[in-house]
Amino acid sequence: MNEVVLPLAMATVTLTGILAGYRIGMVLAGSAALFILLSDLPIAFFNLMVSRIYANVLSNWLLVAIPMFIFMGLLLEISGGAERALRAAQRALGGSAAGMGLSVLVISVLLAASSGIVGASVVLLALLALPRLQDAGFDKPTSSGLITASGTLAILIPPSVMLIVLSEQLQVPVPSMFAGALGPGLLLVAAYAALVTWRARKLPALDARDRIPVWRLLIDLGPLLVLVVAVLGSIIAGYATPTEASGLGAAGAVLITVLYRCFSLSSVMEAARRTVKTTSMVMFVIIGATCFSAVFKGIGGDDLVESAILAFGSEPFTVLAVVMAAIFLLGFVLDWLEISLILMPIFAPIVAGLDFGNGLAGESLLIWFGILVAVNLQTSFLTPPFGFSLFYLKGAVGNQLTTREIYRGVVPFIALQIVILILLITFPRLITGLI
Amino acid sequence: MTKYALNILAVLLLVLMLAIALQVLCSALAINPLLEFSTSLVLLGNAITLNSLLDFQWHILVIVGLLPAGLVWKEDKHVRVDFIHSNVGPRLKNWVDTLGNLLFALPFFVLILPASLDFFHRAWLSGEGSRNGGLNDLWLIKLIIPLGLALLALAIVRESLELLRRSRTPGDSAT
Repeated sequence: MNEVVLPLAMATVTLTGILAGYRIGMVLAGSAALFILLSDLPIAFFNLMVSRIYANVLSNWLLVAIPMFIFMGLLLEISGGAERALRAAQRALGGSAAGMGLSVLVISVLLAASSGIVGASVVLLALLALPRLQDAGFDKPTSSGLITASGTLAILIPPSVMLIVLSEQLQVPVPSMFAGALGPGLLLVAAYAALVTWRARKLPALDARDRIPVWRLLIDLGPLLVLVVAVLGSIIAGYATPTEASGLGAAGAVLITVLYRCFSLSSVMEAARRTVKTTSMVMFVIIGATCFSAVFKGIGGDDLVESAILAFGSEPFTVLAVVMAAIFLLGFVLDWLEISLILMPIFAPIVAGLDFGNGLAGESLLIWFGILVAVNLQTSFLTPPFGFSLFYLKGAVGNQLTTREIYRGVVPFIALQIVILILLITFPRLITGLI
Repeated sequence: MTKYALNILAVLLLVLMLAIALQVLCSALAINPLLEFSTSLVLLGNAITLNSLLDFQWHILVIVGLLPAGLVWKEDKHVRVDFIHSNVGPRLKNWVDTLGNLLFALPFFVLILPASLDFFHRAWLSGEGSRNGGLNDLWLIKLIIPLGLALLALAIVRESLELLRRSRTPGDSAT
């Protein structure tokens, strides 16, 4: 009896606390403590927990990469380097409406690769690109859809912080995870590009004042391109560990602000201060989730979730569909961090034991699953009415866009996401081909 | 005071970046150990090795991650799900925080503070050091765990008192 009641009560208390708006990290840590006291787990279980937090989280050298990548993105944003890159792209490609749309896409891919923070990308693009897209003749829904969708690429395009946390949870090497995300990321970019070009087919050309040739753009974006390719390339090729590449990448970002003539000590310090706060926030959620997972498992929660999933059927693709639906729905309430930390340890062993008949097993199966989860979460963040990215956009533009316009604009992009998700499920080589 | 603390941590983050760069450089040039001492020093032991640099990196992560937790709490930057929270009045928000502090924070600290102190104490008694020639005196970094958590607890106690004060002066609940 207790094996059902306790985990259900724990899940209910936790979800209520989170939905009520109390700090998520503390809800997770607190319900772990609460249910140690309520269950027959010994109090000494918490001593074990501290050792576990120390061994898996605090002394985990891989996690050092997280603040470094956050710093890299924040510095480019705060120093104005990202803004400069976007302006250059608009001047080079903005000769036609389609070009203006593509310039947004190009820059957001570069930003995605250098920051991996969804909120920052969406807000930056909204402020800088929205007016120009509308000047170019795009209607409001299309411009806002493009901005939200390309800003949300940040969680998928490596070296994203989410992929690092996901591979930690799935216990697969980070470089393989990054390599796996490349194909799907490029596929999504190509699909968005096709959509934007098609939408722009009837829009008039723009006037030619203030244009720069495309080769100038390559020189302008050169440093940023080199940084992204070097960081990502060295990780995937195995020349550097993710932590080494992240530290050098952060130093490279400082160098770029010097090259772009927007270096200042105060912006470096501001980026570092904001990174410290974000890192502390992330670490506390990781600690809370570690406590939660251990206790939830201890009182039999994992078994309960497993039997609930298998109640829909034990056929591999049915299980996958149920798991993906659960993640999609939870993506409305929880950020990627909590989902990767809480759900992956429960779902991964279930999926790892399945045979999908596509030749995937062990590590490659888990990477395939991890990337599917990543694309799924990214879709969830775009989906009205609760998608995170939509809130970021609305927050950044205020009354310039109505909620209705934002919702309408994102629908075709969601359709593309779903088509690609189905492609990735049907043709796993799109993910595993590069590993 | 908090501004200074934050600036020190920010500088530490930049030091982390340089430490990674130094480690990459030294392993590329096969410089190991970087420095040797004739006597055994606190934390460092007899030499600064590549493994000391690796350990140094996660030591900084622990400091930067744990020590400002209370500060981040005070600035209300710990992540919340706010699509209900941002649409309710200040009174209800105060209730959520008060109940949350009692129901979640209190039992957590009651269990984790003694457990983390005990964890530090065992490392102190055994003089636990590195197993691979990295940084020694692990009690130093293990002390950061109860320290950071205590600072967080302090921030929460402070907030609770403030919430209590506000609930007693109904007209003031908007601030």
